[in-house]
Amino acid sequence: MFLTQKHLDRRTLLRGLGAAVALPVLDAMTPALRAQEQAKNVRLVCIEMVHGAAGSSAIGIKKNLWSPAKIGRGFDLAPTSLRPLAPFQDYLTIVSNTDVPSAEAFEIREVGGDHIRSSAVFLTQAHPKRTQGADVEAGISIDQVYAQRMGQATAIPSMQLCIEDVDQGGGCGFGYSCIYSDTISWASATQPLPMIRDPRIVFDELFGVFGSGSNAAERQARRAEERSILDWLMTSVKRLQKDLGAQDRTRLDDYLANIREVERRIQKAENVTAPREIPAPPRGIPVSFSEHVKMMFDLQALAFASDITRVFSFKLGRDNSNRTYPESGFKGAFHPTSHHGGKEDRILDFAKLNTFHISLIPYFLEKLKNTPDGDGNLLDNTLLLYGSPMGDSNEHNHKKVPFLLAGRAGGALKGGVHIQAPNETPLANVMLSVLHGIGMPELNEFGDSEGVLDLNG
Amino acid sequence: MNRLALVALTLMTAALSAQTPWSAEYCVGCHSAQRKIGGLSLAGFNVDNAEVVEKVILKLRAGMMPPPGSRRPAKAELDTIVEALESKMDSAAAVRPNPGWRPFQRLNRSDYGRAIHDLLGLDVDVTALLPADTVSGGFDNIADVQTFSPILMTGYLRAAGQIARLAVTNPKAKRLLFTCRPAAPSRETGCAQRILQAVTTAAYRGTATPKDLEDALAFFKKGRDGASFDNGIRLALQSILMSPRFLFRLESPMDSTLRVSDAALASRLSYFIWGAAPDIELAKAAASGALRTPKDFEKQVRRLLADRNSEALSRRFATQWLRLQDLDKVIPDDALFPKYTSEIAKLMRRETELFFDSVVREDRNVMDLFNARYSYWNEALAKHYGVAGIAGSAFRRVPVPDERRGLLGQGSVLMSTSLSDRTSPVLRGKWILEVLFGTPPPPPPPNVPSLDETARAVRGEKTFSTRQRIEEHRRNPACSSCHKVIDPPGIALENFDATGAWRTSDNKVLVDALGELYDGTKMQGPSGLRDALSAHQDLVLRNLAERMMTYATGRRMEASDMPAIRAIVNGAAKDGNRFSSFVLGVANSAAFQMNQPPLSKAQ
Repeated sequence: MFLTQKHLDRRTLLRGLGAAVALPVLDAMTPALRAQEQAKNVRLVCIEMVHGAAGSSAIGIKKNLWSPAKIGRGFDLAPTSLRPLAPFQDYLTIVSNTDVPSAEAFEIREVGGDHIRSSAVFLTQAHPKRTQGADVEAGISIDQVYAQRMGQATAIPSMQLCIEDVDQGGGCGFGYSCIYSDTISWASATQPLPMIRDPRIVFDELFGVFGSGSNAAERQARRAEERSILDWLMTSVKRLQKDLGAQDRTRLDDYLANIREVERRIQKAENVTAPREIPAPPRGIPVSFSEHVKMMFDLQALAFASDITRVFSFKLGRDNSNRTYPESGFKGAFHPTSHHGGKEDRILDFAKLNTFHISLIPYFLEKLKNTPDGDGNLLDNTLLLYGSPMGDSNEHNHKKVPFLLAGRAGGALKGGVHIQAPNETPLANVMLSVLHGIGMPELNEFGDSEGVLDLNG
Repeated sequence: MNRLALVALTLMTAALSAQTPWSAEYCVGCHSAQRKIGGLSLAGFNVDNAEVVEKVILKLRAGMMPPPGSRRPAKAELDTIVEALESKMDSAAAVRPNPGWRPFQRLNRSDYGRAIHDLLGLDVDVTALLPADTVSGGFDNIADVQTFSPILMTGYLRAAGQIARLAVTNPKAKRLLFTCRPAAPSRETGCAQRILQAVTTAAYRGTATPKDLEDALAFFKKGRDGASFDNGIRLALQSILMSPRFLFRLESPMDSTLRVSDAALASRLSYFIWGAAPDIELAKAAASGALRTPKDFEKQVRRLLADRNSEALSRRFATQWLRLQDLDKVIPDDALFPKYTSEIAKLMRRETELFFDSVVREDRNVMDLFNARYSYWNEALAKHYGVAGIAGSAFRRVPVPDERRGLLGQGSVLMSTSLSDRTSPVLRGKWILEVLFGTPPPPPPPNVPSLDETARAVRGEKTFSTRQRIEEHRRNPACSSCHKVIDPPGIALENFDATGAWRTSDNKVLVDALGELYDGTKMQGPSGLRDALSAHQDLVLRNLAERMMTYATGRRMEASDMPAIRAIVNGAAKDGNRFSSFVLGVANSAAFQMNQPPLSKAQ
């Protein structure tokens, strides 16, 4: 079922993406009859920011720069970097005092590789194998556990987005593959998924499943053509494989598996009616960090509203990045600022960057909250996870990491609570509890989990 | 191996084994089984472990071990050992050469854009079509990390659709594509056949079979049915752009000699030098078997190098080797650099491309990359550098002042290794060690604050230069052991500010650009640094050969490749270190001409 309620102004979104909130578009994109069907279709968004937080340093913990002083309900966000989220306090589940032990060095030769290793650990809570080759290994990520179970219901099981470019010279090294820093999503322990930085590609992916074209008939025709090409590839590749060596034959098998997945997506899209009007695409990659992030949030909200996918992972930064965020009111570059030397004034400078990053989240929450879904709104049925696999960046440690959940996850989370985990609780325990809450109660473990945590305090 | 080398080898093996007083004194104190500093244990040193031996060779050649400040044996003694080690490795490789292996490469973003340009005359924005390529070993064309994903497939699918539709409507592309027009309906199939024969031949880089043409024609008929002739060609083109023969650089299995096929060798060669598929002449040479004759092979290499298309070596190889993509990530603070505009970064990049291209085109000694007395500037760039008398936006070759000689005087390198508000001698020094010497410093130990960030630039009334702030904290012994190696080459460049402009003071403190290289050489400013590079020329040349091999073969170099790399450097030395001698050395190497699948390795 995919009926639009009213005519969409194509230019509304073009202008709206990244700039104004395109709420009328979202409303229009919400099908009238889908509400009940989707009541319990929990959307999952996993957001990573790198370099830990000021609130994970000794002084930062004392001054409550990340999590509020009060445990339980009725906490005060004012002193914390989370204060931009105050309007959504009822939707917040702050989990403090957890560690990410799998991001630590396990052997001498891994010492010092924290920046390169961390991102691969965030959503997997598994320890990455130190290698530069194709034999990379970490673990399946939480978004993929969920997508593989629930994602087949939609045309696109999950999407992976990022803000920073991957081609940073010398940005990875010390014996680790760049892919560990490039992505946070892993389809299995050995299958990292590339992330998309260009909003144009995100847009084309989302609406491209319906086929390109200016009207339904044209889209239908193009989709049929694409399917005929994919069918042909299946047979012609088999023919081609005969002339190749064993390793390359295996490599083409992998190519075919991906072709089959694309066919499945097109097939899936044929079972739903495409929006009558597909909004106009964004024009390119905004230079401004906040514009770029907001544009990606627009697309995620749009995808949720039109149920093209229910799972996103979103990487906001890149380890060792020297990007500056002048909008934060502090001009220092990200990585050097994160090395605050344990000095209070510089920890406070770093907190300004953390606060700025958090300040972009309410934009997304607002959109979700204003989009009806089931008996409530999209925010009621979304679980947004935000955090960093690093704790005190000055020491490159992975203890007492910044972390929070937002949204009610289809009722699994009550919200409005600050949970302080017992000392040395692995963050994986929280992730396992999250998976239990969003429809996979039978799972016994996730990553290096040792148990679960009550997320409703 | 001659007798003398054998004696030296025996001596050296004894010297490096943990039992002798010599190595106990110099090496095994740190590189013990317990301490394993730098992840290396030399206890029970085994001269057949190529990985460890090559590590030792590199550090000894660089003069980095034993570390500065520690007691070390006489240079002659070290030289004897390192030469014996090299000779042992090289003779073993001569007896049992290992060309290495990689899976097939796929077209990366850049290759794809170039292929579409060559095929249809269309310049498409590939960044809006395909996901970014994973970088490995510093390059975006490394085969084993080119994995597949649904997003890549849908990217290819969308790109094929958009490009095919564009090709039948864009006048320039139509001229290239429609080599005939059917005069009557009965002639349509013949004309389509002619068009698609040409397209499959070009798109599949000379490997098209009659069956491929048949398949394309079937798509033509499907598209023609109920629509126009052009629509038929459009759909056939769309299918061709999705074929693995187009998207992947497939290579047929090797024969018993492990040599790749002539067509595959031609493709490797043209992608190395041109970043594009072979032209007709190279394809013909391959088909005739001429590439198997050393003389004819060299002729083709030289022809490709002389062609304008070899500018891919500067635009693709050099920019990645020098990490110029990092330029985009430095956005100078406008309060500190009011005259800087983002246009300047583009000019800097262009300067370096033109400069590198001149070394390729004039077949210069590659050390000219660091010492040449000229560069390529236009008015805006010259102004940024504080040089008057150059007018207009066109780049031209100009003689440069001493401090601007070579790559280390170019804004691209100086700015991409800076932060938005100040220089970073640490980043610049690290860049020189990694990018030019090929000896990356170890990662920082945990719990150590970033060295140059622990001090404020202004404290009370007093201001401090970047150098002073760094030195203050190099007193921390946990930092100093590495940073006294990393920082000094960067210190020698302190007269260049974060945007690569010349300065005499930093934060009101007079710039002091005297650095001491890890081997004790004093380096005063850019010329001192250039002299140090020349003194370590062997390291720089070895690294250049290694970088070029990585880019050309599409795989990371391993210990087993080091003998080949030494052979390239030795060969080049006999030819005045000309650029072409490095290219020829790479193209003639076993790694470039052969492929040894892992299974046959075990056999």
